[in-house]
Amino acid sequence: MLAITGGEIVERGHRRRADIAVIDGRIEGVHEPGRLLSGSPDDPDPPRPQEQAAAARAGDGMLTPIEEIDATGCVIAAGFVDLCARVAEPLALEGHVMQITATAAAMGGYSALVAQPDTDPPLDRLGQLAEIRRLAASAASCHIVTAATVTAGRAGTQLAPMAELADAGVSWFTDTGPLADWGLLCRALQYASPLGATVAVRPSGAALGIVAPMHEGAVSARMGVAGEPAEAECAAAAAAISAARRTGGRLHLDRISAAGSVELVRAAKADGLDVSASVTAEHLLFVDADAAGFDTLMRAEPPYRTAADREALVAGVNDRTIDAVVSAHTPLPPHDKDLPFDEAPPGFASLETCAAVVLGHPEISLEAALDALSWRPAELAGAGHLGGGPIEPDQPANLVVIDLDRTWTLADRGSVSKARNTPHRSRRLNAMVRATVTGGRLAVVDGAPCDHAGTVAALRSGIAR
Amino acid sequence: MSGHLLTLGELGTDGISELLSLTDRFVEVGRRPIPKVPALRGRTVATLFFEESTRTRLAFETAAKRLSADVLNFSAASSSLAKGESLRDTFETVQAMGIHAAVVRHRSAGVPAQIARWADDGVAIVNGGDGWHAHPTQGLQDAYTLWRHFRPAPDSEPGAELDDQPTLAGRRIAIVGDIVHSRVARSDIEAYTALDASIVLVAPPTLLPAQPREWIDCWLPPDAAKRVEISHSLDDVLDDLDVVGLLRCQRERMIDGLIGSVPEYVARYGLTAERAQRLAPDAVITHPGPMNRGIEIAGDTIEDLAAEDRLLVTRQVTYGVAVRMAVLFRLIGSGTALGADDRG
Amino acid sequence: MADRERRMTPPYGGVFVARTTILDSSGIHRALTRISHEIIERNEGLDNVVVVGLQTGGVQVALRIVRLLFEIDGTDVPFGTLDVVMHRDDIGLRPVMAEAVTDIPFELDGMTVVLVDDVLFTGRTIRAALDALNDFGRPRAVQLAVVIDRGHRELPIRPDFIGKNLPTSRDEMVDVTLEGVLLGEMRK
Repeated sequence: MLAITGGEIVERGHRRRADIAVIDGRIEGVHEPGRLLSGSPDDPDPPRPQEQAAAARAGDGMLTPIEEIDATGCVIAAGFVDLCARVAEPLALEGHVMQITATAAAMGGYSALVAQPDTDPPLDRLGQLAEIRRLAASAASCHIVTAATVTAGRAGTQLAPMAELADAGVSWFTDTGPLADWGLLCRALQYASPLGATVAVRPSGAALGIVAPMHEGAVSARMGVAGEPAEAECAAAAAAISAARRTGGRLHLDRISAAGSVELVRAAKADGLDVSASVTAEHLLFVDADAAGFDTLMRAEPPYRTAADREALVAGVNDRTIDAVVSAHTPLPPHDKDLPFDEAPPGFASLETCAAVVLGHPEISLEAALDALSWRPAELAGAGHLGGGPIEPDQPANLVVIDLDRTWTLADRGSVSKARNTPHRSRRLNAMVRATVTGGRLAVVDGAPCDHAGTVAALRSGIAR
Repeated sequence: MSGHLLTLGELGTDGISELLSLTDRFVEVGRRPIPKVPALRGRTVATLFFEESTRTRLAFETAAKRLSADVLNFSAASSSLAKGESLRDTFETVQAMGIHAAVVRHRSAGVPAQIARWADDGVAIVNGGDGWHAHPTQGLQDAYTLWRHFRPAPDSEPGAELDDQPTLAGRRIAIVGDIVHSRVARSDIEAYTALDASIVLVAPPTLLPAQPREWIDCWLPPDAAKRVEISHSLDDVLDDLDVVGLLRCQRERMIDGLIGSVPEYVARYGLTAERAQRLAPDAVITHPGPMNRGIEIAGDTIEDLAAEDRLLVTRQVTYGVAVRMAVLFRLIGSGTALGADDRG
Repeated sequence: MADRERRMTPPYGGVFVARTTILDSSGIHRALTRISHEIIERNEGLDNVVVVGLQTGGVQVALRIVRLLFEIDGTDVPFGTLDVVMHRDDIGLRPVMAEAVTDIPFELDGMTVVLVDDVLFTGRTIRAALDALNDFGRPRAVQLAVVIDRGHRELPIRPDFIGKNLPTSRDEMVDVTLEGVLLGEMRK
């Protein structure tokens, strides 16, 4: 049995102080504080009702709490769900990539992530799906949900066997980027509609033939770097929304970055379209001027835009126009960011920091953050049993314990991923994931990964404050 | 000035003025029977040209040699870059050979700034031109050429102090051509505005950044920004110019669809004989070279202006060496500990 | 004393505080007059003699010598200035000053160059000046005139014409102007 005591459970619309017992991968019970275990040092001689209670429920004798997490002062929420992460790890042996990614995700509070299909080769058929799922099963720290490509080989010309893949359980289709052919996007949305699947596209200037390393504006003009105008992203977003309007399909706009895109999504939702949108945590922090020193860590996809865009994205998360914050985790080999600014690949390794950035963001409310990290993405991905679900008895135990008062840096704590392409290495983060429970098992405790193969004795003492 | 020379904006007015004064001294050195001083004896200057540019490389190499520095040449063609070595590996290998300064040229903007972050203490990075971003020594060379042209005849009494160094204050300079893709334009703008000149940028909208006013206002200090105008018509601004700074037209850009056609460009932005006629009689022309005859400037206009000594192109090249001597001297010609024993 | 020396003498950024007057303005005048006569005598006239003042302290002295030579001999001796900052072995110790120009507007080949400086100390400036002169041509001879020789030589350099020998300690400072010669030190 695993006990999480002393914390405050936060769910959509309500909060309560309660202790949680987890048995066999499920939430066994949610109890009055102090009723489950006598963890409080302030109360040296309490009754020990947990033994009677457990014995009473189990019927056949006492249950021993073999793991206890003291969550005093922390928030307990449903495990986070990431709609966009790349399962990759530089320098890792192939067999270890899944484990390292899953452990990194658990460190960030995720109990589920949607693996992007832009692998090499792209995940566009059943055979690969089985292989990836086999590997994913060995990574217990985080559920890995597989997405598949919209078009065969991500070539953007011909639909992948979406029905076959949907029968095998795939409900998220994306080419992890723009789909330039509007007619093809319409067909994908039509085709996916009866399958109950979502088609995700990243609205990007690339759909209009504009490829540039940063946002077009005063900063790019000063730096002498080609820019992608915000209007190009908006045009692509408008085209994709038109396709959703035309087909009634379920469209997800992956990683929007411009204020105009937020406005388009807001209008589409007001019109009742089945459109959702996501943003990365970094886009809630950084603007184009942060790249003015040619720091390749400030190259993102889409590019960071202006302060006004950033503010619109934050507002969109707070008013739920933007459904999800994604990590867009893209770990890169160490030397990839040592290239010239316009040649260095964009992206950041972010699974371990994404939730901390959002939860510690001074302009984002706790409920909005949890909506964007947990509840809403779980609904969109149909993954409520893997994360973001209700914290009630008999529900799968996917939980995260968050300390909102703990500041830390990645440099001090160290990271699971060997990738160094993070802008947060020495940036102070204002919230910390203290523990993650994935499928009833402790994946992270006290901000450190658990080794399930070994003993958990070292973890019994709970979280040291 | 400390550390590196990446853009002229970092130098400010004082830093730029100081380098122009220093350049005067090296122009004098260049006129000596033996135009060489031992100022940088024992120092090594590496030229890291990831993008070939014979003119700039020669200017830096000559400057370093006239200061008695050793020169270590690296060019991308002869390098292991093709074998997948990263930019950082390449620089660190060169740095490990023991250098005091590296002149970096790259077709990507920002590479000198990146390399400056990887450089050891005591290794100075000089931007030899990066993408569309900056070309500070070219900007200094252009500014020096004009500064020297416009200053009154030097006081002939030797040893007399030069008070009130004349500057470009109040001069009106047009920069004409492909501004958005020009590192020279960006560095010229920084240099000229720092010296209190007024600038008018003349180009079709497609050869300017998308929001040119916002670009200038966000980039330059407010008092400098308000001295920069933007115009799409050379004819509108021709009458009260002191300088016409022509930029080199890259033919590739011309056919990239950024302008309708070359004749159309020449008709609106070329320095034709008629436009040259309309210029003030003492207005001068600069060009970073090599000139495209019949595009930026009409062929016979070149001859006419050269005959009147109003085409400063050759002087720009001559001063290019002295400017780079000043930069290298300023960056790595100092820094030894002070000591009383070195007096006298 | 040149501004440059003032700046480069410890404690850096201090001010010169005079202790003793070594020569007053008439004393300077007498010394320079004597040096001028010696120059004419040594060179048996002023044919092919040029005067080069070292920046910055030697220039005023050299100009005075040129004037005295004209008054004595009626010859207008060619005059130049030389800044050796780019030739010194202690480069960087001395700031390059805009006003300290090098200007030698005549050929040096076959000429007798009289180098003029205010104070002779370690000899390093003169060594640098000899190097620099080589870049301008090949003089027949180079002679050295100084107002004050204060000793402490670090190189085998000896002046041809001396205003006054002045034993000093290393920490002292000698200030030479046409108004006089002062001995003192730099103080914060």
